[in-house]
Amino acid sequence: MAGEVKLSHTAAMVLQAISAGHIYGFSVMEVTGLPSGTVYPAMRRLERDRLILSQWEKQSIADTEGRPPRKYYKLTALGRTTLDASRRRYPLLAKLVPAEEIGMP
Amino acid sequence: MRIAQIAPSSSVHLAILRAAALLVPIESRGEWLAEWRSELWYASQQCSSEYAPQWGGRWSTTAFCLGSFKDALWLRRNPPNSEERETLHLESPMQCIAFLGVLAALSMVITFLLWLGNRDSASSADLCYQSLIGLVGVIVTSFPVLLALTSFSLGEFPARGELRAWKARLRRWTFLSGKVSLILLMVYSGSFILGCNVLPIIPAQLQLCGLIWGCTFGLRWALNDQRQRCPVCLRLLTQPVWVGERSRYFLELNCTGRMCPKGHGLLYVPESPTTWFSAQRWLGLDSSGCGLS
Repeated sequence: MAGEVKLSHTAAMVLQAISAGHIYGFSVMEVTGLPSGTVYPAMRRLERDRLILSQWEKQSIADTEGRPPRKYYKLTALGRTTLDASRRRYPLLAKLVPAEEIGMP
Repeated sequence: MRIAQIAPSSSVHLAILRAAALLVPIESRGEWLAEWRSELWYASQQCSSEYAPQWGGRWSTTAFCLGSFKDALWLRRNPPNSEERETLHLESPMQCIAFLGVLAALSMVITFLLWLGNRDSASSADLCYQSLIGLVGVIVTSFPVLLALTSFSLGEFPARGELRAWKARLRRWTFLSGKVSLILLMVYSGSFILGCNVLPIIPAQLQLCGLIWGCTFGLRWALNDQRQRCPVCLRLLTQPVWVGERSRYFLELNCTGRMCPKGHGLLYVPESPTTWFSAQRWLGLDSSGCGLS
């Protein structure tokens, strides 16, 4: 597809992790094993390229649970298309970062 | 944005984040800091959890916080509201050669001016000859030091493909030769300046040492720069990514990955060379890889 964004293996891992339900930075770090200095800039790049979108959690929800609000990330339509292409390029991607069992909030 | 609790985070970690925040463009600094403080809270909790042996304690939290500098630097280079991305000044081979060319031309202008000042004296021709001898001496002295400081290997390339074509090889070697020649031209100028004794306040031995080290590090830079370029288009590879500990086990990779900005391929540089992965390896992508972000 013309104009389709191609990803490095690491960026694809981050995208796969978000797609699998690990929707905030620290969770992505945990599941991929990548350091914070790699994960957060990768997420910024993905957001800049409109592959993911970020949204702050409501303060009231966080207050109820006695914790700070999180910034959640989710895939855009372009992100899903790109991830599909990346899975074809990197067939082990889905095995490296399996989908989270708990449902997304 | 109000943060509900920052209790598990120490003041040292918050100070690291605040220091990194200074690098972030001011319009996105507040939100950036809020996100990192929030993430720090979760990281601190995870580090204090006895069920998370891989996140063991204060040092892991500190490592987490130190990663914020890379994130902040990325934002500094890529402002969110700017379409223009900062590019490396020496990214393309032409820019690199032009930069070295300007430096070499400046050094040759200085050499020429010094030669003009000495041309009436009988020793002018001798000075040029001695500078040439000096250049050879500096190269011979620098060589073993260079050998100790860096590898002469330019990496492993696939046995087949366009990288093996003579045109591609010629382009790579021409570029490397051009860089080395321009550096040696600067060393020759240094040798000439040394012969003219224009800096009498600095001992000659110290100037000679400086020249040898300058030559060594110049050639070392030329080799390192060559290794960090795409073998197809000779552009500097970007987006260096360090593969983390657990990903290292998953991927069986022990390296830092770099990417060609034109999408020609990926370069894997071993962090600690082993018998099975001693030199950097180039992984070429097909034409569908062009147009990378």
